[in-house]
Amino acid sequence: MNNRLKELRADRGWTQADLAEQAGVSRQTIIAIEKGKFDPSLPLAFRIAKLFDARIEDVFADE
Amino acid sequence: MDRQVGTQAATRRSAYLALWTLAWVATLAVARFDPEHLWDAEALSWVAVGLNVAAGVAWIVAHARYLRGIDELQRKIAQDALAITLGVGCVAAFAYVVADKAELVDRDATVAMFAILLAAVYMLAIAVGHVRYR
Repeated sequence: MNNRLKELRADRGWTQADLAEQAGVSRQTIIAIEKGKFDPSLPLAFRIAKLFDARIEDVFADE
Repeated sequence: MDRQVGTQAATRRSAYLALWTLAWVATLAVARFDPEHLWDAEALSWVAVGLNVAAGVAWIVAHARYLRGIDELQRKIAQDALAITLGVGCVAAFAYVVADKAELVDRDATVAMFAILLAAVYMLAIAVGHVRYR
C-alpha cells in the first residue's frame, strides 16, 4: 500500500515522533508505515487521515 | 495528558509482565529443585507446584494484557515471534521424542533445556521482527 505520510508530515513540520504521539502508536510503527513495510489497520489509517484533515484515500492508496 | 497516562499504563503492563515472568521462573525452580534440598514432605511439594501454577496463570494474564496494550505493529512482531516459538517448540519436542524412541540420542533432555530453547527462539524472533520493521 502506498501512502503520503512523509509528504503530509513535512507540510505540517511534524516529526515522526510527533505523528506517532498524536496517533497513539510507536515511532517505529510510523517509520514502518512510511516505508511501506507495514500496512496499518483501518482504525489507525482513519485516525492518521483525521490528523491530517484528509480523507483516507488521500493519504493511503492501493498499489 | 491522556497519552502520558497511556504511556504510564504501557510501562506498568510491561513491568507486570517482567515480574510475573520472573515469579513463574522462580517458583518453577523452587518446585523443581527444593524437594531435594529443603524439604521431604509431599505436602510442601504440592504447595510449591500450586504456587508455580498460580504464578503461571498470572503470567499468562499479564502477557495477554501486555499484548492488548501495545500498538498494532508491536503486536504483530510479538504474535509472529510467538508463532515461530510455538512452531520451533513443537517441531523440536516431537523430533526429540521420535529420535529418543528410536534410541538415536543418548542424552536425556530436561524441561529446563526446552524452556531455554523457547526463550532463546522467542527473543531472537522479537529481535528479527524489530530489525525487519525498522
